[in-house]
Amino acid sequence: VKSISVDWSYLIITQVLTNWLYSFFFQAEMNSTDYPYTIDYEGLIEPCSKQEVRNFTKVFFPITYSLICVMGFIGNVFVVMTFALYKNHKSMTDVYLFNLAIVDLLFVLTLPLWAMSYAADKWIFNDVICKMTRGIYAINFNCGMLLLAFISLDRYIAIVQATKSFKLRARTLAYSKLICFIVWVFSILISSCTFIYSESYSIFLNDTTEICELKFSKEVNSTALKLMLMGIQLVFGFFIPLLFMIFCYAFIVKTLVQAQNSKRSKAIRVILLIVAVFLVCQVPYNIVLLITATNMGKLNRRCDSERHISYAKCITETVAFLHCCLNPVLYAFVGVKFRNYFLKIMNSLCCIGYKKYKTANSRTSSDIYHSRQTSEITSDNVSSFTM
Amino acid sequence: MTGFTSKSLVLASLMGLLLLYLCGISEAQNNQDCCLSYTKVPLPRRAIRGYSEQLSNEVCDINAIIFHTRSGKKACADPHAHWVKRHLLWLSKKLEKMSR
Repeated sequence: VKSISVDWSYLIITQVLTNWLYSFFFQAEMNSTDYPYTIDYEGLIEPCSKQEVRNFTKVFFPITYSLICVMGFIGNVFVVMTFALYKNHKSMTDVYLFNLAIVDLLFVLTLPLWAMSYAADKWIFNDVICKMTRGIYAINFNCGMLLLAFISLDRYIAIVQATKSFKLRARTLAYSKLICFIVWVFSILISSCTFIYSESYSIFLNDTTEICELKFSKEVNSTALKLMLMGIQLVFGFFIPLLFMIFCYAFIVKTLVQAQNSKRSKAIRVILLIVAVFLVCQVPYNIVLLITATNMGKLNRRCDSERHISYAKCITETVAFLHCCLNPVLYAFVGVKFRNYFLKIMNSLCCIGYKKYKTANSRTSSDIYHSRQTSEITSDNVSSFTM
Repeated sequence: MTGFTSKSLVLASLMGLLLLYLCGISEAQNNQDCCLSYTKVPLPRRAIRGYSEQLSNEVCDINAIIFHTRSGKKACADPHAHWVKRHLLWLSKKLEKMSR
């Protein structure tokens, strides 16, 4: 009898123990206030909650992204269409602009996916789409900046080095497709890291949510890697294009000021506008990136300043994205020739339906180059379309 | 010979630069809740219900152990701290016992 009672008590104890352990891990049905261990400990540091920021982005991004998407789509489709139907001689800058429009178009088409994900507050698509959208984002960023730098360089060669570069420019024009191909391949290679490391995975930080973010392997020093990648983006995605643009456009403006031409003031205004828009769109975002980079991996950052940086990043990034809506206006639609041709195409599309265009009034390639003299290059001869 | 080495040095540095450039990346939004610092005072063992990991190779910058407390709070803890390691060991042992 004694041994049985011992067995019983043993059983009861184990029962109680397992119950207790069970409730330790699966506490959902338990009333936690019954427990003496629910005191708020002094100095308990919780994760920095960005719920407030997410509530903001939930509304802000779907609206701004849709607006940018619609505007950017319309503008860039017009540019692509006009260049595609333009059968005459294209200048180097025209080829660059055509590619820039395609890049911007690709990018703008990924924005609805981001808008939907921000509205849902998690990544709602699969891994492949995650890699694709982030990859296209990176390609757009690098390729677009590279093309802007090349456009300024091309204009510099055309205007400042006009007499010397006659042959050089003719040759680069012959290789224009090859150069653009190289720019594309280069941009895709540049963005390959994003393709490789972007992943959609779930995290436990707030609730278990699926996110589409960079994820490195555990072996590498990921803080250093993140920092390096951000530094590269700052240098190649901002400082180098900026240097190119400032150098090239400064010399162009200097040449234009010296030249006697009726259209030069318009050309100078357009250049100033291009540089100003680049600065307004890119500088704030890159400053925020710089701040993020300096804070990266540091301990004991303040939560409210982190939140402020997040807000700043949302807004400056949207402004930076706006750049791809403004490119068609700044580079293509300012050109009288582009506008005229665009209107013609629109007319032919609307009134007579599609018709192959053979414009009789446009110049041939030899015209452009043979008529080039320093004084008259200034405005509309820079390229057949621009300025 | 010196000319050759300096040339190859330039070439190597150029290649290095190219390699760096190959990994240019764009930062997207990251508005997840991340631990920014660690709880200094050790938590009592019985206050802990479970834990999750914050890894620096994912969205957040620093490595951290997030203890889920019974009161429904989350406590950021240093994965290198002694008490954190002990707690993790204890939790894993408990889990092992349960699964047995």
